[in-house]
Amino acid sequence: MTSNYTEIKNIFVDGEVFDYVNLDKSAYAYERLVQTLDKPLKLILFFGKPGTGKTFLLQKIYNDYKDKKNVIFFPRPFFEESEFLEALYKDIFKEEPPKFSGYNEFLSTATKKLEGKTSITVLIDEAQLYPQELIEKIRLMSDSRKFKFLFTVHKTEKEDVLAKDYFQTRIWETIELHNSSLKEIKTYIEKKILFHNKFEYLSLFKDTHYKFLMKVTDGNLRTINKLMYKLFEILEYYDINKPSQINGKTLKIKYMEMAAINLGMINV
Amino acid sequence: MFNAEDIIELEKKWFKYKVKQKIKFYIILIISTIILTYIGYQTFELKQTTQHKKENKKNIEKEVKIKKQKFKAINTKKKIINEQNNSKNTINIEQNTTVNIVNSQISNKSVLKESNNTKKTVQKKQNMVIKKENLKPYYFKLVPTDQGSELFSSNGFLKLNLPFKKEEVKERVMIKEIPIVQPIRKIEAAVEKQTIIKKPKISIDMQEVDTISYLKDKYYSTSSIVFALMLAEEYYYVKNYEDALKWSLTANDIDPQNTKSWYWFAKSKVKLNKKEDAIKALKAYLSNNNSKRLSTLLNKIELGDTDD
Repeated sequence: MTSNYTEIKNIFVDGEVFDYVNLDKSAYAYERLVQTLDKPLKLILFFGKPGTGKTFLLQKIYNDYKDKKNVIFFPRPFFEESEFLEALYKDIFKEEPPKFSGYNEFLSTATKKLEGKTSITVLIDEAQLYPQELIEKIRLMSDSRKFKFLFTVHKTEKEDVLAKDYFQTRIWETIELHNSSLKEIKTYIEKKILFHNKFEYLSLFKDTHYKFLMKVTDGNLRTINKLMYKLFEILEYYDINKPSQINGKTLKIKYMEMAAINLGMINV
Repeated sequence: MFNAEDIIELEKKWFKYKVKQKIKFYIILIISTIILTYIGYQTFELKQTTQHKKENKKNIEKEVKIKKQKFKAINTKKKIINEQNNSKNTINIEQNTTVNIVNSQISNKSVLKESNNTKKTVQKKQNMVIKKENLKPYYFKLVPTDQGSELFSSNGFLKLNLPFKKEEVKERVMIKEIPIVQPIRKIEAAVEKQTIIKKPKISIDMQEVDTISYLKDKYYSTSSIVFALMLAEEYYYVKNYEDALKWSLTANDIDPQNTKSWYWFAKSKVKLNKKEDAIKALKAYLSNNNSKRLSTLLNKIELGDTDD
């Protein structure tokens, strides 16, 4: 049994790059990231609170530049040095990597192969999860001038300190992505709905709803997606079982509150 | 997708959440109302206290003002009386002594005799014309006993004048006592025209009420004739003639010889359309005493001139 809300709830599922919504703050961050990629910098730190859209932004940059520049994107962290080196070799040279005895062998092989070519930009997401030893080796790789690394780090209070200690002396450029403002939340949802040609659902949301979203999600886009998904899931139930309760033009705040309660954003 | 149980559970949670939210709101509302009411009550009480203080202050100021005014008035009166007494003294000095022989039994027979020659000044200046009663000649001299404070005593206090011979005087004194002025009440009783004084309706302004109540307080605390007389006068000027009459009687009870009590009694009686009573009372007083003021008043009343 399907409802009008079945389709729209899916547009708030995370992970689709083509669904990227260009907000003011992310547009600014995007611009800065692209500029830094052109500079002869070795290490770049890109950080922000969870759910601010860092991964989406990296994905967008990768998609936009993968054909124009030597860009490699590692969305998932590596915990083993050998795995990382093999994946890197495979992505750069598009061939199966030989068995490297260690880091030095990889570096000498790669440097030889990249002789006379432009440097490789490696986008590393969730960098705070990488082992410290591996991070040290990545830094040494950047010293060879054949590799340029962009570390994406979550900015929580603890991790922020960690990140500073870890990268403080080696980072050449830092870019921060902030949480979305109320205005940006509004833009985000509107663009999402319009992008999927669901114009009729736009009238459901008023300022009260956006304010509520801002209050419970603190501008975290990932949380907003989760809440919106849950909201449409609830609406889907009512649409099928109790349609008389949701036939108003404007959405009752009750359903948003129910979604927030269900996700544990509101403690009862 | 949700099933019915999930949704029912979720709705229950939502209801609980809403109740919590509203309870918070109502608790805040009640607390703020209580606080505001308390603050309001405190402010109101403070205002009231301030107002009372102000009123008390005003009343005290008013009382002080009235006291000052009264004090001034008393001083002025004293001054006037002193002046009058001074002038009387002067007259006395100049004319030496004026001796009136009062005839207790009404008689037209009068004999003129020359006054005594005891004092040199009298001999030099003039001879006194003495009205003498045929049968019982008495010689009196009117001497104010306390000229400085006439209000406190009577002008009409009688003293025996020196007659032709000391021995004779003594004899007479022994035989005939100095006539004592009877209180008005007794005179009125004798006249049998005393009417029951009705309680007056007080229709006077605040200032007067305050003055009167102040004087009354003073009278009840001191029982002085001064305040009784002042009350009679005060009531007379506020046209409350019945009370003026009452207070003149009170004053008269204290000192029957005080001319002022007779004066205000007569004036009040006239105003109460009891001219005859006034005339009788004044005549009764003047029959035993001499008062220029009262005789002038008697003349005026008889002539029908009652203007103040």
